[in-house]
Amino acid sequence: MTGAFLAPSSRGRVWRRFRKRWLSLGALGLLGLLFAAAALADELASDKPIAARVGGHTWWLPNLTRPLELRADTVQTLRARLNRDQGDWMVEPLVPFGPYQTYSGQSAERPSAPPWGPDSDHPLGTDEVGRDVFARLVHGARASLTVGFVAVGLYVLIGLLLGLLAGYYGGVLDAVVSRVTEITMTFPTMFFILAVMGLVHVKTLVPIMLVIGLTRWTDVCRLVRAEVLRLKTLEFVQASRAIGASDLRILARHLVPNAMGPVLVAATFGIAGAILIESSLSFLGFGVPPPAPSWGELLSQANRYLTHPGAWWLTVYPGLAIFATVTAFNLVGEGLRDALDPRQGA
Amino acid sequence: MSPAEPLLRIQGLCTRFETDEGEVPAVDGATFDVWAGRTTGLVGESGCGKSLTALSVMRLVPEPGRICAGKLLWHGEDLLAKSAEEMRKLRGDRIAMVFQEPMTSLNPVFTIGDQISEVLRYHRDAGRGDARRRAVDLLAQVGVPDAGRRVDDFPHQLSGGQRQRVMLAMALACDPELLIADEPTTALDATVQVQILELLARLQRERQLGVLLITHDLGVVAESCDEVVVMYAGRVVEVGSAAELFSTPAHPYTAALLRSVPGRERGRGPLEVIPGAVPNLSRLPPGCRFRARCDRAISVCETVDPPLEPKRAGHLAACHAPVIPP
Ligand SMILES: Nc1ncnc2c1ncn2[C@@H]1O[C@H](COP(=O)(O)OP(=O)(O)OP(=O)(O)O)[C@@H](O)[C@H]1O
Ligand SMILES: [Mg+2]
Repeated sequence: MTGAFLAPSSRGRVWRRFRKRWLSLGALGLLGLLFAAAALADELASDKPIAARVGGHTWWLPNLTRPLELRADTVQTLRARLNRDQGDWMVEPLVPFGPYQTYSGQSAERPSAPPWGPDSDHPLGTDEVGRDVFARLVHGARASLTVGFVAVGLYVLIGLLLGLLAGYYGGVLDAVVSRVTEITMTFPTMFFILAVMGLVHVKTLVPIMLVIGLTRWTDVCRLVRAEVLRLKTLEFVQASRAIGASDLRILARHLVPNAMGPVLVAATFGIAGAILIESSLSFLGFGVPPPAPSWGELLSQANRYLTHPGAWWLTVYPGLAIFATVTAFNLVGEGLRDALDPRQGA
Repeated sequence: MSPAEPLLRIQGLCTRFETDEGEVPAVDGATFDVWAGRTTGLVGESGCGKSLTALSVMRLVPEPGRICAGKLLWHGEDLLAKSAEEMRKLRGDRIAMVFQEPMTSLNPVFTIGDQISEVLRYHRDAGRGDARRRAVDLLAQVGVPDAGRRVDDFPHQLSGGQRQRVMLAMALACDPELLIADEPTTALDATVQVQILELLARLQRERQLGVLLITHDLGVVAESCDEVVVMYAGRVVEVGSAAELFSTPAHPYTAALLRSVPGRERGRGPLEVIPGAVPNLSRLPPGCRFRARCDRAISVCETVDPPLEPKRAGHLAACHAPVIPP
């Protein structure tokens, strides 16, 4: 996806160089898995089967469509009603629990109250109300990645636009943009979000994404501006003017593709930062609304249940997820930066 | 056979830079014509305002420069009176320009085919396929071998000479009437230089192009120009046919320039270097700008800036004490 922004001539070269860094390559692979997990969250962990035929009725993808007739059913209740002699069958998700599901068929038979540690039913254990940690992790990945990409997408757009205009037109416009950039840079994003969340009372990810997007564009803007200032003195920009290119064409066709490399690197690091911000906020209880899963929210659960000193799985797995994802984005960013460095050979 | 009206008549062109150290009159009252089907050479030392004259014609003077006086009569119509949009439509279509540095004049991130097509898409509304076919065609015309394959190459895959051919293909894409070539061969090595100049001459003949060839190589001028315009410190000091100017230069500066060229018929005499340096444009002394370096300077030269006047038929010079032909 990101490759589409890069200029065609550099794509092959950048990839060849990126490929040589096995650590970054591995990180990219890990991120690929993470995207797959977030995209297939309902196939990996759901309270409804992927497909089933029960009592003469066949359902395809009830885990996604959530049909009314199966409203009260879970994989566990269906399992109990399954009559294989009559041709019933069921394709279960990898982990047969949804992210909100507090009750499972087996929980009644368990000797103690949750949280339960990892076992064959719950590979990563459950939280204090018996919700499956794996299910909440894969569904929580959506929140983290959404915040990361939307917030960063927003600020790349803002930064790119302002940086281009300031660098290309210079003069008063440049002065205004530069001052606004400097002022915006002094905003502490975290406290700003806390203040906004305190004011707006909407407990969704939207204000978080908006605030990150509206306060963090400064680095991209400064990068792009500097790059445009450099590029616009190059002869090919003058040459494209000499063939009758309009300002818009020069900006879109000649400056953006050439300035995109460093922006991509900054964006990759930025996604890691945004994911951390979201986790921190959810940890503090300012993120997703309570029952919804997110990695930070999982950690905050763990924090509340430190009364169960043995329940290590509540901290370790979400912590690992955050750590691995942020590290992977940073490694990919570093790999990209090195691969784009023109001082390195082909 | 020459048409009655020049393609481009530059009249009293002044282009200034507003800098902290004051105004720099980089081009000061330049006046000369460029004719269809002929090559006009623009020569002079580095910094005398050749490129700026060309950029003024394109109306692409870089900040903080400004065209502050004069007329640029294109088929009799003043380019300076045209709107930005009208000017944009002329650039690359009727008036094309080739720059000195073929290594940086092409966008590194697009194929050369893309960049040639771009011109056609701007000015001819050509579709993708059409533009591409034309690009291959043009590449073949400017002598890029294996054009069908080369069209998908990126600039870094080409040699300097080939890139300059690509620049020429771009410039010629819309069949312009005037081609401005700003030192098109300076960055190339000698054999490639000759090839590019031959190509330029051939294209010019085939298409009856008016060419404004900027160079500081008098050898190049002798080979390829019909008329020559000599500039010194922002002023046009001599205008004439190449033959006239080379055999009987009127301005002492032109004469000195000719004496400083190695080879040719003058080759056996000692090679001269013009003493002194070009004056600082922001602090010009009164009178003739060449005075301090001139061996023919007389007292009027110190007070009166000589106007550009006919010295012989079709031969103008700005000098109070022109060189007398032997
Ligand atoms: N940005 C600028 N600010 C101030 N003065 C400038 C600027 N650009 C050019 N000049 C002045 O304009 C003069 C003419 O420049 P120009 O590029 O036309 O020279 P040239 O004859 O093409 O020289 P060359 O042979 O080196 O290409 C220079 O002497 C310089 O003093
Ligand atoms: Mg020049």
